[in-house]
Amino acid sequence: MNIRVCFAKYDRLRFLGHLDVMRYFQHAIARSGIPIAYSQGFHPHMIMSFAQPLALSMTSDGEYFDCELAIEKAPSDDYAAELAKSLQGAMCDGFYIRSVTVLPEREPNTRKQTGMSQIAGAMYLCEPLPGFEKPLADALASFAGLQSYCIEKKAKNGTRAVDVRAGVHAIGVVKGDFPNDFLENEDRDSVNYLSDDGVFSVPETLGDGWGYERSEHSLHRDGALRFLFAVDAGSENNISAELIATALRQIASGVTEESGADGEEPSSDAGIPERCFTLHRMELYRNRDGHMVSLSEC
Amino acid sequence: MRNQLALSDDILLRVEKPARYIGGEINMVVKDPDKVDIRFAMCFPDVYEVGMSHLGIQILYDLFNRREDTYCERVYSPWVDLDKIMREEHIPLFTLETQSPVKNFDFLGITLQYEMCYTNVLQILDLAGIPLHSEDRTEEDPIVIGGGPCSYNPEPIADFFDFFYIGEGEKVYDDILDLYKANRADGGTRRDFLRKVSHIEGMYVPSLYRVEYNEDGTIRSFEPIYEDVPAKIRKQVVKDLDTCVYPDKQLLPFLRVIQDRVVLELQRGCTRGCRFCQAGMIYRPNRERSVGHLLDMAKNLLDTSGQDEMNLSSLSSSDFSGLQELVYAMIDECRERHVSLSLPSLRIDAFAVDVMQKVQDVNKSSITFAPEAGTQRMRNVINKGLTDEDILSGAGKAFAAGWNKVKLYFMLGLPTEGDDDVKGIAELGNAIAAEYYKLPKDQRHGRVNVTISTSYFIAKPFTPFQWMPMITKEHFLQNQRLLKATVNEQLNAKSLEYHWHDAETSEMEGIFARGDRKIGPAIEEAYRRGCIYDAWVEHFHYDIWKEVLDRHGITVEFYNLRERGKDEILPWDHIDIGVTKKFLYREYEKAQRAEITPNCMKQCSGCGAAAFGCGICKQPRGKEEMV
Repeated sequence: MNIRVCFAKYDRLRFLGHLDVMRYFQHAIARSGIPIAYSQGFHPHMIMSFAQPLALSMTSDGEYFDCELAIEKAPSDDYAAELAKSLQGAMCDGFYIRSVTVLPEREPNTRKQTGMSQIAGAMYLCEPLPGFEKPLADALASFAGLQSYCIEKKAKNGTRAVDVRAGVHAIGVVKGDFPNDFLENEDRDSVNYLSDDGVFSVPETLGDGWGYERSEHSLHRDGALRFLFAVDAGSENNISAELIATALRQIASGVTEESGADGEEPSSDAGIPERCFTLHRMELYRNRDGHMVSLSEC
Repeated sequence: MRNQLALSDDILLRVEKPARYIGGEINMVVKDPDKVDIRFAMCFPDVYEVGMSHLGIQILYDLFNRREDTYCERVYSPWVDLDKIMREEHIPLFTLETQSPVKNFDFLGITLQYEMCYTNVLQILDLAGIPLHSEDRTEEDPIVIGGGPCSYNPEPIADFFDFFYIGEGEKVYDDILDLYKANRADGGTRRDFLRKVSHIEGMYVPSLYRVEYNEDGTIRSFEPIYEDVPAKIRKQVVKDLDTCVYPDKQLLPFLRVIQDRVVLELQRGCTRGCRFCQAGMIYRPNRERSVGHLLDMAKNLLDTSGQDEMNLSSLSSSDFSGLQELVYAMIDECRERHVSLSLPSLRIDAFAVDVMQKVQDVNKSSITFAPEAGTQRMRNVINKGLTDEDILSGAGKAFAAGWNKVKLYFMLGLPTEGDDDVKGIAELGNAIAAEYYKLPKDQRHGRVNVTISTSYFIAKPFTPFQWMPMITKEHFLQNQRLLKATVNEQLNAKSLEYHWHDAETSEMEGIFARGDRKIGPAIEEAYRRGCIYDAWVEHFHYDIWKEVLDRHGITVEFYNLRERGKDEILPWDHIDIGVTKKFLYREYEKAQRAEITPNCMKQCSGCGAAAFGCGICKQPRGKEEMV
């Protein structure tokens, strides 16, 4: 049987690279004693595959990997919860198991669906560092009003232009804490740029779904301004958190869309350094009949 | 603890591998620093991936943290990129656990595993904001302790340490920490503490000794300044490894480190008595752990780490008496857990071939021999109890089992070496290749590949070769060329490959290894001029070192190329490792006559280590006639 594990990554561990996270989970699985399946051959390895890598310095509530167990089916109804508990017992501070889901059995003669191949969307949170709230909020307002904003992205052969704006489906702004259904609440169509209640959102149609659960581990400064982005993700059109961040930084630094497209970096005297916000991944989604559902809903 | 990193996100994103600096690894100890009496910073003065591979730190980390009143944290050398940033931005050196400045600690313990780390020691002190010289430190500074193999001749770096712990850490560290607390409670100063520490056996406080030199630069006298300070400092030895503490959890780094595996220490010391080998002398007597204890330890380590590789560590695994029993029991345990087992320093015989077939991939792995010298005469000089027959029959068995890659390790520049001994290396390589071609053609797997590596012999303190001259760098390079040419002349030249080690680092290592206190100022100047990470070829600046040594009158002739006299006071004579100078000299004379000395397991040669009353020395064996 196959399972999908959702975990959160916080604190110091935001400086662990993707390969080290994979190694960490191999060791953690061995410590937890869950019956992982191994590949054949002289150097067997655990059968597991990770979804989207996370950039260094980002925290996340939506990290995923799939793995195969060496048993045919779950021995009990709450087996997934037991696995989650065993895994959590093997975690160090900063890694938290959010859920374990048993994946449905594959239809005969179909290809294996990994988490990576299913990803269609992502939700990111961007928190300006103190001193950069105003310029970045202004930049966000400009960005929201654009039809398209292209950035050159390094690809395997040369660079190619990515339309960041087109890949963003919804933008939300909050001050302080926000409700779990923030992007789905009734106010979301009202333009209310930094109003008294600190809520701002852009009028656009967000398709069905895009739910998220805030993790109890997330930390933010009291009353901090935060931007929420629902974006395209996955192999076809991946709008990473850094792409959005770059777009905002370019706009805030006065780099025009055109010069931005030339890949010109804003000069440092523009006052907006590269590190002007922290980035966080809230969730990864897959497209289920037109609805964006969490990758953990299989 | 959350988000409290000593470095800003900005810096962490600018440096290579930021995970080196964040701590938080599996099995890291978490304590409240405000609730302990003693804060101990434990340092390996090299980059994280090297330092985290070291078992000794794991043992001491566990040992200290078992004490409720002590919090031991780790610190490693910032890599050159971060080093630069820390200097520019005045960021003080910090520990990984609490990310707090090392300067605020009670102790800074630095392990000295190789001579080429000396400038890194100064880097650590400097970045921490601790005065480099012991004499300049105040009550605000941590007490700086040195330990590890280089502390057996710590004279070149004596000025930079408050004291050295000579021997195995498990023995008297508790006494030291208790003494520290008592001294503080009595309102005692740093100087008071150091004076009292010198009364604990094995503790060497360099500032309490006076050295005088003869005109030729040799030592005239080396004496304690005060009567209550012992003239000889005796190495500390753990008598029973089964009852001494061993970490049941080892720290598991996130990064892939050099030794990416859990380590099971089978034994300490070695019974062989190779005459070039310092470890073989300073860790005497040989002491084994029991197989039952080792199996428990192994299980525990695997449970708590989840590691997929385990290393059986020892200076000479084949000499471990319970090896077969242990290995066969472990093979099954490891297979079940999908853990691979590595057994370095294994002598290749029928048992080894059987084990290797079970734990290694025949197609990918190679077999390794360390004959160290190319001719039997030369191997007798160095007392390496390995014959051509051993090597050829071992290789033959491995070839028959399917191996076709062999690695051979040798030293060039050994005492009494002649051209024939150099050529003998190539000839031995050739003979091994020939052994492979004795196999019927249908049993061979392609061509055999024999790799010959040579390093530059360095005479080390506390070995029978401590009096011996080393050869010049030029002579060494000439030997390399001779060997290269001889390799090419061999019948099986196409199956032989030759690699060599750089000579410049080794020359410097020779000077440090047998150096005295006169070298300290040169090390300091080299550091001031930018030398750090000397052990890393790409960061080693031979030109700067050469200039600095010249300026300080430190010559290769005096430290490396000179034969020392029998009665000369050696810079490390005040350290007592149990093995006597008399025994070492007897071995030195036997070496010159190419006479061998039997392994401790066969008979006792009266080296002096029996005084510790433990290990192999307590077992009944034959006795060599005393000379």
